Amino acid sequence: MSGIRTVFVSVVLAVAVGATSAASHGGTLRMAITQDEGTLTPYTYQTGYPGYELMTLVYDQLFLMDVDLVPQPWLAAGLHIADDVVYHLTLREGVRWHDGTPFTADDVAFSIGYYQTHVLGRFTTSANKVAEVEVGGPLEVSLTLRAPDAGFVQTGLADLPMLPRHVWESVDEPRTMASAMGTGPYRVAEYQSDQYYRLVANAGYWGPAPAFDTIIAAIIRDETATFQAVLAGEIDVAVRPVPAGLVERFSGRADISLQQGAGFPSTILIMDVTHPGLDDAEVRRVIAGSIDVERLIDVLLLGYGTAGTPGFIHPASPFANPATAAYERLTPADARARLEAAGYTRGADGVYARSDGARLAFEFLAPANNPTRLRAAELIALDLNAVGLAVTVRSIENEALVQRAWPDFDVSRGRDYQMAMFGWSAPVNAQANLRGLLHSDTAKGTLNLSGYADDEADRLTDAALVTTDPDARRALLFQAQERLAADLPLITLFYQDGIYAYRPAAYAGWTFMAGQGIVHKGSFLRR
Amino acid sequence: MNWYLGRVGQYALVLLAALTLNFALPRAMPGSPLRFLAGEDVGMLAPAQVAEIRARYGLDQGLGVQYVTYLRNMATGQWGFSYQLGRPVIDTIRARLPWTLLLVGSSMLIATLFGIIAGAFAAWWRGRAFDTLSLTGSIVVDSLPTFWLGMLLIAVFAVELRWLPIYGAVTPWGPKSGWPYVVDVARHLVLPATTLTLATLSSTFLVMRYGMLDALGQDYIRTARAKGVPEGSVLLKHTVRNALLPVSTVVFLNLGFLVGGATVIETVFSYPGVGTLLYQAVLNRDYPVLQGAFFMLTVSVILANVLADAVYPLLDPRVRRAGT
Repeated sequence: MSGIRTVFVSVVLAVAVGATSAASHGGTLRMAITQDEGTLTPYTYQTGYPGYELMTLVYDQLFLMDVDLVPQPWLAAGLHIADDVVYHLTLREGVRWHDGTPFTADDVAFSIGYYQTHVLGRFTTSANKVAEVEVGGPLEVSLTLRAPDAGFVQTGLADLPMLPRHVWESVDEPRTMASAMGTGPYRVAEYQSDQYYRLVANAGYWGPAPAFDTIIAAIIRDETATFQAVLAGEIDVAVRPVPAGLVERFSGRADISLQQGAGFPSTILIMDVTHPGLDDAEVRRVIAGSIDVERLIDVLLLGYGTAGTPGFIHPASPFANPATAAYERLTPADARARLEAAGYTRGADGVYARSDGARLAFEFLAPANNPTRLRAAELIALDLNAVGLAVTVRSIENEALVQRAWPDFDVSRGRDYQMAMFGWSAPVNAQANLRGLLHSDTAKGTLNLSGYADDEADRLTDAALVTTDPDARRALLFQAQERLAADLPLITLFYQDGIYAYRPAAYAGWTFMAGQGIVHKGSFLRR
Repeated sequence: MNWYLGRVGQYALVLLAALTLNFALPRAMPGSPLRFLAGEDVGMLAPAQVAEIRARYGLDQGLGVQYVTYLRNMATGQWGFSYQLGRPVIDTIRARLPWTLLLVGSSMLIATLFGIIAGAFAAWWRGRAFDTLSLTGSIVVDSLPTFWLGMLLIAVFAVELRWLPIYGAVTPWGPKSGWPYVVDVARHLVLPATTLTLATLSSTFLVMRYGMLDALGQDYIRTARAKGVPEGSVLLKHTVRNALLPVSTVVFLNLGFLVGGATVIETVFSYPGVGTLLYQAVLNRDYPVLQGAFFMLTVSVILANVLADAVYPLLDPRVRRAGT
């Protein structure tokens, strides 16, 4: 196939990115954030949410995700894709860096090169998909990918923050970069480490006007103190989701509004599928079928959650396969019958064992500093022990758990656990990164903590990556979810709903970005 | 002279042992600082890129090599950059130390003065209403969880009455200089300092009270009273002065930890002190910050001991005579 395939209309649809409908606002917004986010540059921010969102108030991307997770042209005014791999971008005119220097195609080329040579978890992988960058003029740049990549606009162009070449070309150690300067709608006016950020509107912003003159992002580490501050009127919005126990108290108040929506961060049960007993898919299916997920959601989340699907992808995602929407539910008697049919016999101690002697007795790691996951593990162990498995919950510090399940964040180093409570952040779900979760090649399946290996899953996820036709890609992702649902190397338990509180008298223009929440760039811009 | 040389030798040994522990303990914890060196989504990186990051920060070297580098850097003041914040370790500590000194110092001062006075009168009036009430009160307050006490104060004085702010050390949009700034800082200090004072009051109070009771039972008190020394003099000159000796030990011990901050209270009130910095550094395996902050803590504890060694003979003539 050759020739030009896609053309975007170069009109900024502020509505599409969820910019506020308030005609004008201005003034000061007082927002509670959870921790220090460094100097708010692409190399120093800390968390995906809200750190990335704060950082991209200062830095712009070429595309911007709208509230429905569809990328909209942003610093790029237009895009033509040729031969599936050549992305020809026309940049917006009149865009300037905060210091007044014009933003040009050189900056785009420089940014991609910089992310390639200065390794950073979130951006280097996408930047490395680009084999060649050609600057065709001040506002023209072409990127040639190494291979077709259906998700490149979403995971690359809409994700990479653009760096000013004239500032960063002399920066060798980007993690020590002290000052943040981009083309974004806000500038960092003051940063007091561990206390607060003061952002002020960029008066010369090229796009929709900033909704506030000043944003104070105050660091309040403690959850209770955060919501006390919202109640007392000291804070206008909290980036932290409202804990289930407080929802009722807040929803009865006139001075506080809540917005609720799908949350993509997952809570999952991971298993080492090379461990005796857990290497049998039937055992894993029995485990999944015996867990009472609805009870977990009722007890732990007071109902504010969505049951996980066997295909991992959140039901609200456009990539979710409706055919893998629910787990088969097994009563303890059903579960025992299934195990016995698969050749397991119950020992004198009430625990099932295989003919080769492998007992279905497992250590189940849970993070000590995450009460929801720890309590989930306790409830799950009750369900499984009732069937005839011997599951022992062991609570360990979170970093220690990660080190055992994912030594040095490198799956090629193997794993040292049997069962563990885990979770993935929103982007894994939003980008339907099934290849990362399932692929047996450790360089591709970088999130495959189970040691799962299946040729068909490898083939499907490889093909989905390079298939650019949206329908064909979705079909491949659907099939990959069916593989996952059949083999269950991981069990998706639930997704906690995102519920966010704000004071409407201060500002009511918040929009909910699917899977994430109300704090995203569009919420801070006027329509 | 030999006694002083021996003392210096002891402190040098303690310093070296502490430095070694400061190096070894963070690394003995399972987990890795990679999450912060590679930024968010370290899982997206290929193994070769992870290896590149480990090499860049010297984490691929043997522990022996890292230890020698560490000792050299500590000695030359090259404390490095915080993995987590990307700022020089010295800057991150310097930014928080004044707040910690203000919070911990002010509560320590109040708690010590209040503990001494209340402890002295409780013992002086032993068995009377004041003694019973203050003893029970101090034990009750001491057994309350600090975070709960802090939350209670926030709920009453900040949320219901709205007299005082809930979080932080200053109002982000407030005054930056002059008296209004001082007032702003003081208003933010009241609740955390009160919580910390209540949480630490009982140790001074109890030590003082028992010191007083011990002194009151001594022969020299009976002698003084038999000589007809006025009660005020018996209390101040004969009893309190002697009872203060064990209290001074507690004070000097506390002084050493002045710079360590108060993690729980700093977290509850979002107070930007050294305690939360250390806590976050432990969670995030931020070795350079841990090393720097522990080094500072080690030196300050040693200095407090040196001070105690120097001052104790002045307070207690018996030590002076034994030492010479």
